[in-house]
Amino acid sequence: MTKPAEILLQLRDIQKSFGSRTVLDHVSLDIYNGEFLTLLGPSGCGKTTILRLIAGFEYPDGGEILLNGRPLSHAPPEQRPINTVFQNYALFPHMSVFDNVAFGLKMKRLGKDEIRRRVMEVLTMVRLQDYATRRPTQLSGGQQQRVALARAAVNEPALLLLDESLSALDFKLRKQMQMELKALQRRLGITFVFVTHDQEEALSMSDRVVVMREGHIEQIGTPRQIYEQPRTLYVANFVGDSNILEGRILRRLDERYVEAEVEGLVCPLLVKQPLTDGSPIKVLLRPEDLRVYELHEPHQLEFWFDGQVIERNYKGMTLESVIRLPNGKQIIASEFFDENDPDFDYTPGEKVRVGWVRNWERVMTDD
Amino acid sequence: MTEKNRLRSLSILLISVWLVLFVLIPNLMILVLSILTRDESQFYRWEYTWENYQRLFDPVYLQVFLHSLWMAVVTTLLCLLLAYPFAYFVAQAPKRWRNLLLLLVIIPFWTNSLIRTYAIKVILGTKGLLNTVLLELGLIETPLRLLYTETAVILGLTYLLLPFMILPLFAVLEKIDPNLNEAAADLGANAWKRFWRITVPLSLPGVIAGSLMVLLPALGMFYISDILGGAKNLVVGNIIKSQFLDARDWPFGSAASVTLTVVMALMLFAYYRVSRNQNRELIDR
Repeated sequence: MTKPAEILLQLRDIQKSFGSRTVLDHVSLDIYNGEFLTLLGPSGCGKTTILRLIAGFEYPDGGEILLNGRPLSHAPPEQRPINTVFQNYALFPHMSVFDNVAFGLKMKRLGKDEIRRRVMEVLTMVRLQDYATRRPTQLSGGQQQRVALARAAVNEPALLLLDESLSALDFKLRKQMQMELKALQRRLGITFVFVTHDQEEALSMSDRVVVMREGHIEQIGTPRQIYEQPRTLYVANFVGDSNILEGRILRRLDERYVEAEVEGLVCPLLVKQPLTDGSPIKVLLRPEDLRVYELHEPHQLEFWFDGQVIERNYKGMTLESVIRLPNGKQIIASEFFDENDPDFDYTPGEKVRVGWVRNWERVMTDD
Repeated sequence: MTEKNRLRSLSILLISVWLVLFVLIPNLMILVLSILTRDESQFYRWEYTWENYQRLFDPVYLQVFLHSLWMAVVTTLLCLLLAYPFAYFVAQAPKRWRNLLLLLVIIPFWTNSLIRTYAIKVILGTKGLLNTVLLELGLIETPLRLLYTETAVILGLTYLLLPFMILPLFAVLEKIDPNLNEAAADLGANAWKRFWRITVPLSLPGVIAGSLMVLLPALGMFYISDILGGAKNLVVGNIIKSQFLDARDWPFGSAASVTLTVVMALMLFAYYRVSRNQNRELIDR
C-alpha cells in the first residue's frame, strides 16, 4: 500500500493534563489525507483524549493542532469540519433516524431537497433506508451504530473520528462492522481516525497504527511493521501474543550476526544494532515463529531447546502448546494443523525439541 | 406463613386501613354531600339534587375560577422561568455540589409555609421591609402598595411552589447524556441551538410534571390569598373554604371541591398518558 503523502492534520507537541494527572506528554502526530489511522492502547493511555482534542471537546494545555496547515487548537467543535462517532453512539433519542442524520446538514442551513437527498443517500449506503422514520431506541445495537456512522459521514467531514465505536457490539457483528467500516472508508475517501484497545481490530482495519502508552506514542507504523518489527517490548507485548526470551551477547560473528546465549542456549542471532559483548538482550518470538518436533521426528532446526509440553490448547485452526524449557521458562508455540498428519497432537508431559526458523527472531534491548 | 410475609401483610393492611379511613371515606363523604341539599340547622338534608353543580356555573363563581386559573398560570410560568436556569445550573454543577444545592432548595420547607407567608406579608407591607429599603435608597417617594394585590398573591404562590418546579426539572436535566450535547456541537450546533434542539425537548417531561405540580396547588392554596390577596384576589380554594366555614353551605362547598378534584385528575391523567407513551417508546426495542 502506498502511503498518501499529503498531511491533513498535525498534532504538534501536544500537552494535556487533568488536574495533576498528565494525560498527554508532548505528543506529535501527522495524519495523512485519506488514510485509516488507528490509535491503539490500553484504557488511560490518552488515545481518547487525542480524539477529543481533535474534535474540539477539549483544548490542549500546550502545543498546536493544525488542519491543512491552519491552527485549529481553539476553535469550538461546531466550527471544525470534523465529525465524531461516539462510543455510546449518542443518538438523539427524541428524533427519528432521518432527523438524526439530517441534524448536521440542517445546522449548515442546506435546502430541504438537498438534505433529503443526501440523508437518504447515506442511509442507503448503510442499508437503513427503510428505517428513516424509526426512533433510535427501536433499532438494534448494530443499526444504531450505522446511524451514528451515517450521521457523521453525511456531513462529508475532512476527518471522521471513531471512539471505540465497535466495542459495544458482539463478536460476530463487530467482525462484520469492521469490514463495512473499511469498505465505507474506501468508498468515501474520508480520513478515519479510529480509537480502540483491541489490537486485532487495529491490525485488520488500519493503514497505520499508533501504539500509545501512558500519554506518549510508543510506535507508529503499518500493521505489519507494528507486528513484525515492534520497536519496544511494550509494543511487542501489547500487539499479539509474544514470547520474550532473556539472553546476553557473547561475541559478534559478522556485520549481521552475533553469537548469544538465550535462556541457556547458545545460538546465532540477527543483530544489526551495535551492541557490545556481554550486553543483556531480549529475544521476541511470536508463537507462530516457533517450531516444535517430537523426538523421533526429522527436523531442520540448527539449534533447539529440549522442552517438555505442559499444556495443549485446541484453538480450532491451530494447536497452542505451552512448553517448559530446561531452565524452567515457559513459552507458547502455535502450529497449524496439518492435513497429512491427522493425529497431530501432543500429550502433556511429552518431551519435544523446540526452536525457531533462523532470522525470524527480533532482538531488543531493555526498554 | 413466614415471619417476613406476615410483616408484609400487616403493613399493607395498616396502609389500606389508613387510606380508607383518611382518604377514601372523607372523599366519599364529600362526593355524597355534594349532591345533597343545604339545611340551615343541620348543615345538610338527605334530598338529592344537582343544584350545587349548576350553581358553580354562576358567573360570580366562574369569574373567581377564571381569575384563580389566571393567577395559577402566571405563577406556573414564573416558576418555570425561575426554576429552569437554576435546575440547569445545578444539573451542570460538579456532583459533590448538587446535593448541597438541592438541600438549599428544600431547607425552607422545614419552616411552616403559613409562617413564611406571614414573613412575605411583613416584607411587602406599606411600612414593610421592601418599602422601607426603597424609601431609604430614595428610589421611591411614597410607599408602594404591594400587599393585598394580585401581584402579592402570585409572588407568594411562586415563592412557595418554586421547589415543586425545580425538583422535577432537575431530575430530567440531570439524566440527559452529556454526550448528546457534544454530538450536537460536533454536528455544528452552537450553544443556543444545542439548548433549544437538544436540552429543551429532552427536558419536556420535567416541564410538564413541574407545571402540574405548581398549577394544581396554586388553584387551591387559599391561605396565601387570605393573607396576601385581600378580598378581590380569591383562588378556587377560597370558595371551598368559605362555603364550609363562613356560608355554612357544605353541599355547595363539596360540589366545588369535587369539581376541582376532577379537573386535577383529568390533567394528571392526560400527563400520565403522554408520559407513558413516551416511556413505551423508550422501552420498545
